[in-house]
Amino acid sequence: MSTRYDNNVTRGSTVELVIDGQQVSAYEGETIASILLLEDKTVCYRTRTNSPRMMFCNMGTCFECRVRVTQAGVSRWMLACNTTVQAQMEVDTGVALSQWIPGGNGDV
Amino acid sequence: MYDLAIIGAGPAGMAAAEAACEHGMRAVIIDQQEQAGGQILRRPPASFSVRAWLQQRVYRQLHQLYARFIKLDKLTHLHGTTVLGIGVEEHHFVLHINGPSGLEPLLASRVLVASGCFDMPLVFPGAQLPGVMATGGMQAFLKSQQIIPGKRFLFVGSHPLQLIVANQIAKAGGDVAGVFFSPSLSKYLAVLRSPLVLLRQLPNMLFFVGVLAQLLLRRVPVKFGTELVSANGDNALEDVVLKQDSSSTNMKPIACDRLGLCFGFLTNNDLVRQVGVVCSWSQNAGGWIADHDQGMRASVSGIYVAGETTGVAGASVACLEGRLAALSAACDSGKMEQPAYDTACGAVHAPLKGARAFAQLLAEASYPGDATIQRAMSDDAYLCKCEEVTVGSVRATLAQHPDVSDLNALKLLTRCGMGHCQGRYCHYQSRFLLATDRNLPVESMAGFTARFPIRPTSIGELIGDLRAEDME
Repeated sequence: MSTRYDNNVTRGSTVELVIDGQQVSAYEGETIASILLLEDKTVCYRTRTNSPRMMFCNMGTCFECRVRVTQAGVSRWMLACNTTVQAQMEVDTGVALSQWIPGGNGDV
Repeated sequence: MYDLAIIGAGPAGMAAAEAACEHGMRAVIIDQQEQAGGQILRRPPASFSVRAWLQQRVYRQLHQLYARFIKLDKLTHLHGTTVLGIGVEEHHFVLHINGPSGLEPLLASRVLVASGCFDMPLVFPGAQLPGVMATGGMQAFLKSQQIIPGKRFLFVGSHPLQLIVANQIAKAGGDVAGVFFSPSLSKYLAVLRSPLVLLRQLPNMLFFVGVLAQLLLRRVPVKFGTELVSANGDNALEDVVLKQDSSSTNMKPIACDRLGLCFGFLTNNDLVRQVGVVCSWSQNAGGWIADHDQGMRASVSGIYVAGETTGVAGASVACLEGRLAALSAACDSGKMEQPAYDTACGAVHAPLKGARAFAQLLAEASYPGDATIQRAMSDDAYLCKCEEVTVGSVRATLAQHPDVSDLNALKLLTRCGMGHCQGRYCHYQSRFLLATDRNLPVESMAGFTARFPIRPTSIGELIGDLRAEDME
């Protein structure tokens, strides 16, 4: 379980988003990766053999923190560590690569 | 057309931007993050206010540089933007950038690549488990997002950075199970005793000693000569097994939900290699390092390099090299007369020499050592996490194909290096394994070919607004 560090910090307004179907509240400026840690998620995506993976580098180089993000009806893979939360964002964790590579439904 | 495109807004890039603007160059700086500063100054979101952020003395000069950098009003700053490749034209370069408005070309007469580095991974059983993280990545959660990214932390590595991060986590209220160094204590003491360090780097050394003292006061175990055996857990990290060098039996498993790995850093050198810059291999300064002259000019005319791209050496070296690279670019484009250039470079070369010497000592001290890398690499560990290729399967392939002696061939046979990290997290260990197996010098082998796009990019992003009829 991760926690927000409150000493010396003033956070701004809150943003409501949906993670795995659950309404979650975040602060503006927080990354999806932070919210996943705070929500105690232990998987970002699953490999083709269904093994769970989580963020490693937290700087956009390892691509282990990919999650499916749906916004305005468009669903795409995004890096949790490099993506700031936005209102109404829908984040799905634990999606397996094998579920989208062959014959997807036109999404990117 | 820009006079100079600077890739990376860390210490090297910021210092270069400042020098470029001083000499009237039309410059653009491109960075993947939303705010400048690089990983060392990974800033909290603009909507946060954090009192006394990174107030330690070691950050002071960088804060001053950042304050000057954000006032450079003639500089174009493209943030949230990745350079996917560099095309070489007769008199200029085309940078293929991917940012908020999609994929676009950006033209520049000269390009400085200051793309930094990332935490070196270690190949060992369980490295792929959720909860095993780069210590630098954990620190970024603390510095920038202001969260403690777990509950119970264990740190294993060879780089002294792990002392700082462990202390930051403990101070913030996290539970630190221990900080374990793979080299012996005597290796670090040898560095401390060097006259170069004692004379010039005393404040840095005292900073480390202070951090160590604080950890010990908090009763955090700090041990040396300890090797990583495995990380274990069903779907996420539950415990870590270590072994004292001197002992033949493993230590009792240490329960934790986060394991920080801190074995130094690898250079982010795919762009320089993609554009054709000659690089050399350095086993202890981050792998691929770009060759350059005294003025930071790379082997491709018009391309400059600075900071970790030239070998992992830290922020002080990066600032000086960034400045030097921009001065050279200004001189080469006729914005600066030779005598003024010589004087300006002279002022940089002396401090750079001292800073590089210290960086070299630190690199030697914090390199885990070939033996540690090799012992951790057991057959059941993933050599390539992305494609789930084990060390054992690669060794078996090598045994079946005695003619294979280069990394690209190995990649084609095993898929090792073909995944979404594009080989960044396995090229070092794959090279090591291949060199050891074939009894070849590790420096002499070519690497995985670096190609456009240097980051995974969707077909949709690549074609943008093009319609089928446009493509006929």
